[in-house]
Amino acid sequence: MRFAQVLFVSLVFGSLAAGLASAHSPLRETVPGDQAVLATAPAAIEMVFDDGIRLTRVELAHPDHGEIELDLSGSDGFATDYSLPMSDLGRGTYRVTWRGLADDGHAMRGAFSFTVE
Amino acid sequence: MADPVAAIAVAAKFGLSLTGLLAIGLTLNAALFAELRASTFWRPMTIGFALLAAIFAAVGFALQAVTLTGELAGMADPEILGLLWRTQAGEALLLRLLGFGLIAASPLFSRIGLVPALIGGAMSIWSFASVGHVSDQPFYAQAALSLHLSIAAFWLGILLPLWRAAPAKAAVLGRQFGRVALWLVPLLFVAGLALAATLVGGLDGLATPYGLALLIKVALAAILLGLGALNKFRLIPALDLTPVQSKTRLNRSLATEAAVFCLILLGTAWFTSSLSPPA
Repeated sequence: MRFAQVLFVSLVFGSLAAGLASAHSPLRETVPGDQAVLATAPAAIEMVFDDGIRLTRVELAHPDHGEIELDLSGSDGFATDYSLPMSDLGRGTYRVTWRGLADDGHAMRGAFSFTVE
Repeated sequence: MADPVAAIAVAAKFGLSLTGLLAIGLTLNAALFAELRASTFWRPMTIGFALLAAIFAAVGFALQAVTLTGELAGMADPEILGLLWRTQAGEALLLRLLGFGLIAASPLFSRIGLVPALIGGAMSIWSFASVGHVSDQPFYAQAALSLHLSIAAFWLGILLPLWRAAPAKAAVLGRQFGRVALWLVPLLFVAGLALAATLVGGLDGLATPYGLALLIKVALAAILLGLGALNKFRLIPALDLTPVQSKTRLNRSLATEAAVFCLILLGTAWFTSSLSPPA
């Protein structure tokens, strides 16, 4: 049945082609900034979003320490500004990966990184 | 880097829009054309697409929970699911489950005809306007999207019945559809352009990735318009003169139309998940 074939091929094609898709990021600003180079590790990571978002998971990855989940217990509900305390893990490149729910129901995610020399 | 969850989420969104519009479109066409209601296949086909659409809607919702947690276990995380449920995503899922449920259950209400299925269709159409980029736009943009989707569903919903019908029945159904489509299809384009102007904000917005994606969509819609005109003015009338040969040509044209519709829906599922409108 040709119609069913079109539907099936489109679904398979969709799954493959959409592999490049990524949820759009509403992250306006971070401190430290993306690709920033710092002399010392910051005490907290700050993120400012365009619209209200409820962060559901934030991970900090470091080459020597692996992935550490940051504590979100202090943030409840939808907000545009977040400040999350972090530990000094020493020199190296830190990668922050965040996930959250926008107040329009979109699931969002993104990442940025900075280096401590 | 390829993200399998994002890929599956886009595929689920595409599956929802395709099967959902087919279910709604078959209902609209059946409500208007007795020729279609008299066929044996439209009802099981409509019920099947409505059930598939409800499944795709639920899968899409569950995948949002996976995106939020980064783990498959997120699908069963009551806190995350509860959080999603309280947003527009939850509202849209409820409307979709009820709407497609009403379409699928319509044989149970056969005494009052297609009214429950049409109400279900309207609820499902509204679910697309109540979530996503259009949801924070003025009411007229949401009304334009609902009108745009309803007419697109009506158009998509005739392809399969025309494809399956015998030449004589296809000629009757095709003429009936063509008379209504002559008025509705221009409205589809007007509503789509009004919506695009609201989301893109002006000519400058067309130079953005979102604007370019919309332009590609318009180009594909123009192909659909050409195929629709070919069917209405050449292939449907030719069914009276050379039924067998013309039906083969009509089916080829309908299959091409279905493929272009799939491309449009797939592209829309991708760019509304990956890009933000500039306006």
